[in-house]
Amino acid sequence: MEIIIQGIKEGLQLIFSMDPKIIHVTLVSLQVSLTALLIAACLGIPIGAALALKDIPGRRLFLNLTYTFMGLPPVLAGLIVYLFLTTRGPFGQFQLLFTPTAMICAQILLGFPIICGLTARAVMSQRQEVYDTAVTLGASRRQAAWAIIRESRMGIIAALTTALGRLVAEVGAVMLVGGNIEGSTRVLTTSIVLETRMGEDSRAIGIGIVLLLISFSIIMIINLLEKRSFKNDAGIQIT
Amino acid sequence: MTPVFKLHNIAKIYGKREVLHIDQLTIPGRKIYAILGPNGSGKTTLMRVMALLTRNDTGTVDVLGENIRWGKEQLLKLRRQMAMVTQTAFMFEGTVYTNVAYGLKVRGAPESEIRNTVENCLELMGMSAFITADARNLSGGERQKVAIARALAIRPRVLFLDEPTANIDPQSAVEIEHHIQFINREMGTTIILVTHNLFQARRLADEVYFLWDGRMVEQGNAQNIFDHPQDERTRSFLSGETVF
Amino acid sequence: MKKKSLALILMLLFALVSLAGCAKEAEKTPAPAPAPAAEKILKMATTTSTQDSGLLDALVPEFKKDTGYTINVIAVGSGQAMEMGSKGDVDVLLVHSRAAEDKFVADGFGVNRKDVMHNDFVLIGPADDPAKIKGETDVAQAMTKILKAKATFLSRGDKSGTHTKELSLWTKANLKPEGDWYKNVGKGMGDTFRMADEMKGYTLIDRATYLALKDKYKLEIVVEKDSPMLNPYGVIAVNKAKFANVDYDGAMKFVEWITAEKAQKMIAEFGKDKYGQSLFIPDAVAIK
Repeated sequence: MEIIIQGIKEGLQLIFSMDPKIIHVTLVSLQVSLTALLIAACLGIPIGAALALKDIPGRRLFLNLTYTFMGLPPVLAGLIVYLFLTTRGPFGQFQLLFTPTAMICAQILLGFPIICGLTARAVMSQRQEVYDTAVTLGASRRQAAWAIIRESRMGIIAALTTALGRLVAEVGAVMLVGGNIEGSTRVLTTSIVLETRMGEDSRAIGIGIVLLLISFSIIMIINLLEKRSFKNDAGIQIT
Repeated sequence: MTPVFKLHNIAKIYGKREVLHIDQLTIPGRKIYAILGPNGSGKTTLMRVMALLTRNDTGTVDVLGENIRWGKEQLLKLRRQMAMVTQTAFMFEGTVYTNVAYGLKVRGAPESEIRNTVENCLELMGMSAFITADARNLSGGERQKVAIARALAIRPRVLFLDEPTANIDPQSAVEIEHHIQFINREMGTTIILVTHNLFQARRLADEVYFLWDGRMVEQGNAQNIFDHPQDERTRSFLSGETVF
Repeated sequence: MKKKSLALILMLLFALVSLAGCAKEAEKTPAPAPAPAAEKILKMATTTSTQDSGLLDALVPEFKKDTGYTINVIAVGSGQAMEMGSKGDVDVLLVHSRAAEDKFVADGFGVNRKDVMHNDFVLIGPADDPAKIKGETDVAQAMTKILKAKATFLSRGDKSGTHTKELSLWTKANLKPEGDWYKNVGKGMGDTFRMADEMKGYTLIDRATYLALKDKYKLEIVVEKDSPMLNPYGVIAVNKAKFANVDYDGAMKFVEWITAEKAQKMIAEFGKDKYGQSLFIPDAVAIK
């Protein structure tokens, strides 16, 4: 117990002393995961919404695949990207392995199914009456589709939060394709692995606290943005 | 004058069940028309076909003088002359203003015109005080009034009302019935009222269409039908013997 | 409400406990039980090199045959191994980081440190050898050339024995490696080897790991056999005066066993059949 308390104490000290190495890995983590999230969202939200709304052939199959890949183990995503980027792989000539770009690619692979699948689910959970109300008020098909997506925005935001939480906390993929190179591809999670391996438990705890703070801030920011919608989110009363 | 709706030989089949079969139906327009019948008699399906929300499996539909070919542009053009209020009207997330403004927004109306119209329509329904309220926090009666204001904002030629007062308190129901009569009389809007409430139909309707098991069994002047029903099934329904 | 959740928690706990019991049962059943007494388990922290090379797979069963002790091997970097020892989480250490080992004993965490064996490190790099150091016999000279050429060099960067050795080589050559060419990757030996191969860089690697993995990658030995590149392994028992819970007797049995002739012979023979040369050279007793 003492070891844990001491670790937390020293970890907090490291944060308050603005340890430059911790700041750097934090920035790399955010840069990689936010970029991956942005790209995955640009692909995942429209594709997810289209899958939910349009009767395209192979839709069911694609949706089921998406749901399956939502649980893709990070290290497997890393392996797939690794095999594509290795010097002997199809994209070897671009020399992308062990760069932040490679980490972003792997995280897109992880984030896309989550965003796409949860967006599709959120949109599909909207009822026929949303569409009916929109078109009876004179909306074109496109405008009505947009109304449905707007109504699903809480679900889509939940999809983005889920994805970002997973990406920031993921270690398997970034370790494999990023390589944990100091000052370049070392991120919060790979730092924790390394510090633990080196027996630097307090540093590991300190970085872990930073990671938790980030996840917490993400939730808080989204809460603020969506305060109005959350107002009605009174929850279920169990009496 | 061209009739507002002309249906010929319409059928709608779900699975193996024919839920609607109308040989001939012409609604001239301008008045309040009630579609009556027990639950599951096909009232709502008939209304959805007329509102161009459900596609008929056989036959032809003419709306506002146009034969319906279910093309995108034609649908949009005709749907923009009609509006609908359902039993539990759906409210978009946002304020009452956002909701009432929606129909004008999708038509690309200028912001000043939207504000004017929204204020007028809410005023008409006695809902001005709620303009900034959260639409999802309204009571049942308030919500139905906002839904009618939202429908009126687009100045529809036809207003569909699907059991508009079924789920609300009697006081609001009375108010809404007055509004319906006012809209029909003062604005010249054709009203198609789907209801299983005989008394409401009797109070409001000029013409009545009586559906039974997907078929039109009796139609005509409301007074006549209520006083001298010809069909056996209509008689039993009107006398309250039918459980619905 | 409260009662219900309490019941739920209790149920979960019960389920966990019974599961854990099952797991232990399953572990035990296949092992032939020579004595009805509780199984004797020795916890050993060691470096990844002894595990990855397969040496422990040969030694551990033999130790069990001789003493009845099962060894639970925790393969980590030397740094973490000693950290575990300094918390009393393990009973015995088999590590290679001489300076740190001496400090560990001096700080009173360990007793009875003994030399076991050594292997050596080699400097490997790409075939086209951008720093032109192939055949260099002085490792300090080779390191200087790498730094001057700014040729990609991968450092384990994990305070492992290999990392410590690498840093000491730079220090001995009076160099301070810094810059984009010097990549601190913070990974185990196998991963670092793989990355160096992908990035066509130089890295320092222990011979055992190199021999075990060399067929998979293209890097070649460029510098070897200079005396600073030797890598002695020591065995240390964790001090029972500091941690009452450690199995000191078992640890001492292991220290004696691995420095005695039988184990030393096994070490000398290990790897000969597969690689044509010994991976580790025993140091505790003279073997012909």
